[in-house]
Amino acid sequence: MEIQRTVKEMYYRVDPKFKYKILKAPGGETFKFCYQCGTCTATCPVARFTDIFRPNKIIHLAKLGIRNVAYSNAVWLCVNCYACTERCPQGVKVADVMRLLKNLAVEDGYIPEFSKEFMKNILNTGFVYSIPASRIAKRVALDLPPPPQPKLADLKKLGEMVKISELIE
Amino acid sequence: MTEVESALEKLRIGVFICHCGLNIAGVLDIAKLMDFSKTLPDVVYVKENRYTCADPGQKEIRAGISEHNLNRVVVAACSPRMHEPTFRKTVEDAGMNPFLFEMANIREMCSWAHSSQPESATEKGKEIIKMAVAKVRLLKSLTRFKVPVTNKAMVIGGGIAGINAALDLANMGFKVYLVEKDESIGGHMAQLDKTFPTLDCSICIEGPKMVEVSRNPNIEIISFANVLKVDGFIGNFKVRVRKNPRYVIAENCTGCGECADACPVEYPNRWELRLGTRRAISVPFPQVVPLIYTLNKDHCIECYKCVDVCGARSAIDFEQKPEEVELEVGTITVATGFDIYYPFDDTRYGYGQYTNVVTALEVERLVNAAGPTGGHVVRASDGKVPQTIAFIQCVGSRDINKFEYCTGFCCMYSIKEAILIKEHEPETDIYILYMDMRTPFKGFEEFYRRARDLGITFIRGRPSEILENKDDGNLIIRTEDTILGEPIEIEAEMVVLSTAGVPNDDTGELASILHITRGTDGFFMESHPKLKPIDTPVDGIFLAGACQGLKDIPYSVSQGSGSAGRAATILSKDQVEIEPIIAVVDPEKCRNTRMKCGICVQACPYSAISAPEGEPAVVNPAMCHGCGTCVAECPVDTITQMHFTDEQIFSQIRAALEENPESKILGFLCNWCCYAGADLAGTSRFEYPTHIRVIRVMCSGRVDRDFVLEALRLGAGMVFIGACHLPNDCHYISGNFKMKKRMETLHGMLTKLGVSQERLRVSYVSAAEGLIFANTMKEMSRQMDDLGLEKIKIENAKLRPIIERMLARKGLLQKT
Repeated sequence: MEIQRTVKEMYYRVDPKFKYKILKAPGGETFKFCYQCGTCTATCPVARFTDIFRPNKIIHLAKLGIRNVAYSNAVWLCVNCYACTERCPQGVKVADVMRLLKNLAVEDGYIPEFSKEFMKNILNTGFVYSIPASRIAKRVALDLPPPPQPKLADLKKLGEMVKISELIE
Repeated sequence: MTEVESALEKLRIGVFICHCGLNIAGVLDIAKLMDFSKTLPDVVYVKENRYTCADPGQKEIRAGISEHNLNRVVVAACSPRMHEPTFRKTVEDAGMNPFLFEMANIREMCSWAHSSQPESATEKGKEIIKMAVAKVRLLKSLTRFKVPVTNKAMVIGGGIAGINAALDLANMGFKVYLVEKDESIGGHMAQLDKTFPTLDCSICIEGPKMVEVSRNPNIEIISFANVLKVDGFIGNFKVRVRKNPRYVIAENCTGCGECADACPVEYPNRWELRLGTRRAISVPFPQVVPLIYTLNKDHCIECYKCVDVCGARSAIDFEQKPEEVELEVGTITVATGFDIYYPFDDTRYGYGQYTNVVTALEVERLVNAAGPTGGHVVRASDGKVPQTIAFIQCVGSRDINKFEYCTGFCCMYSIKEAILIKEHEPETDIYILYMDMRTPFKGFEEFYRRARDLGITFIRGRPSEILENKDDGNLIIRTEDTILGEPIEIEAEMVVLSTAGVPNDDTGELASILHITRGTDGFFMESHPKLKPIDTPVDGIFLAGACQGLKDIPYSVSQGSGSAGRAATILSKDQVEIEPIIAVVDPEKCRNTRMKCGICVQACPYSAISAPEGEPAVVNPAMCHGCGTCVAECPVDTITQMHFTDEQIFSQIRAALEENPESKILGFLCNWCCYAGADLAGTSRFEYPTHIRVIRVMCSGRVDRDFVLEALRLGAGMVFIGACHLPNDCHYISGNFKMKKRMETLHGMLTKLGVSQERLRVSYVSAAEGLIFANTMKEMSRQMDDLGLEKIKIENAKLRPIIERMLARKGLLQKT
């Protein structure tokens, strides 16, 4: 995880106020109960394939208000499968906290480049990525129906309502 | 049976060998031990038991005695410190005298200590049994003494443990003297604001108990007093107590407080941890019991305003002197509590250096509504309420450079104080920097969750340093966050150090007054960590509360009540039995009749011996504690220690050294420290070489010069004497000093006679130092290897004729 350090030395400065942003938001109030057992990380299917995503550490960093983390790429790796939330022995809604952290990041104008690209693709094509012709041909060969057509006009309207263009440009 | 009959009676010895499940049988070859035991003189019956101490095992002993007409029994099993009383009772039930029984310790000192050397351990096991059989053949029937019991109790220390001990004893109908060194009873609990995990107000629940103590007609509180001297024994202690002068006559003081109002002088109140002040004549806190004012002459300016307002009550007496009283009691409960560590010496955290760094006990007074700040937690630098507070856990605790142990209650008191602060000032941001949160008892984990619910943040890491910002008095704490694996820093407006609990300053002094031992942590040591957690090695003296090891309030209360129950088992009887292992003088041989001797009188730590001029010395059996120091000191060997006679110990020495003596270490271990330490080495499975053959003596003072000489005459490779630490640990006050002097002289002589100096060794090993015992054995074995068999044999050959002449002169050789 990329975290900015205080200028002169290697210490991360704790910010006592940041945690209230999470505590105030719906789904965030449970995160105070975390006692760092690590069940979430042990359960997480993403954490199995990358060493940059550790839900327990993200929760802890959020508690300490080392806020750069909320804006780091790691939190965006959460796929919201809720396995962590299911198994937490203290009832912490871990996946909700991840969502809140993403929202806080967006509020402060931080979205990772790959998420911006995804968003642009969705607005332009209705899909996260454009489906290659070979895939379409395969579907035909298997006698599958063509993929559903996205309603680009609705997407555009929605994007305008949330001022998405300001965020992703 | 008369003595003549017993002498004529043919010895019929039964040997019972315990498997102890696999504890013994898993290492030692029991079949070999059995075959060997059958070859020993006068052994007529050998039996193995899976668990000799269990009911079936005890039945087998009783059956063995009746079916085979046994008149001596050896049980080869665990330490005699563990089960000797059990088996004495077993053989007594079968009609035998309980003192015709001997234990062979093949578990703690053999199978557990040598688990990876089964063959040599089995050889050692055989010889341990052989030594026990040799001794049992010479044992004599003894009768326990009955002594009267004074049905009064003393409780030393009036904290919550002592209060409960006193109340329970008083309510059982016994007179109790409650001795308190401070002005009031109450202890640390009275200083606390609330108690975890229920947040009861501490003084509100303790106060009524304190009042109950003062109202109970069976309890006499002796406050502001010190215990000076304790003599006597179970059921019959004589305790000398000094009442320090308060310069206020207790009977005349009504507790009105007019004197304090009139007093113009204030000084820092120690009870308030010097955060508040008190008058030169005052009480430390309002709820004091007994309610008697104290005048502090260090601060009094002798203006006599107090005398004026006291008027006709005339309670103030500037001429008051310390008063000493002697109290007779049957039992003593020690409940002297603990103290808090003040980390002035720990520069990392800046206590005493940075204004806004305080201890948790100080916060306890700050957060208390009756405290110096009226319940406001404010910081000293500017009087402001801090917005960010960081607690640092384990200050002093769990640190081998300070206190190795976990204090045990700091996690909980920090959580409690954090919750209390949050209740007073909900906007405060609180961090608790911990290494492990330990919340094991009823309601504790729920309390920990409650703290998190309130938004208190827990950070795992032990801070390396605290820096102070000179401008605003804020503190920068630097620590590794071990969950992130990254160093972090926190700016806090106040830092609270959760400091360790430590033994009271006077614990050592009290230990030597009471002849009870302390562990390596400095707290009083219980008789057995599992089964006798309240007893001390001295019969009739019990422990309660944090003086035995740090504990919280409910645990202290339980121990207070537990100790009352233990004391009542003695106080409820008119008589108690005491062990007949005392010294007896043979008046025919005593040389005091012919010349001025009195060496035994000098040697006795208990003044139990008198030797009027021209008459033989006499031992007072009730005062003799049975250390045997006089026996070893007597120049004409005219004193005998029952059950540890010269003859019996010589027989053990000879049995141990019959085969391959040059490769053996013969050890004399005192029962209370080194023997217990060696047991602990076994219990802890600290492995060491099998060379040592142990002879248990009650006190190292019993180890006669002749024992060492006889061992060397027989060719022993090395001789080891294990004693209690100097100066205060000796269970018999000064036996270890007597032994030290004796052995130093002997060591000098042996060195002159060409004996390598490492072949006679005296070590001081406490009951808590199992590892040190094991390491000592390893070191000695290595030294013995370095010397080599040949060198030892050559030295012995040179020495033998000299020793033979010495022992023959005393007539000791004919006995063989």
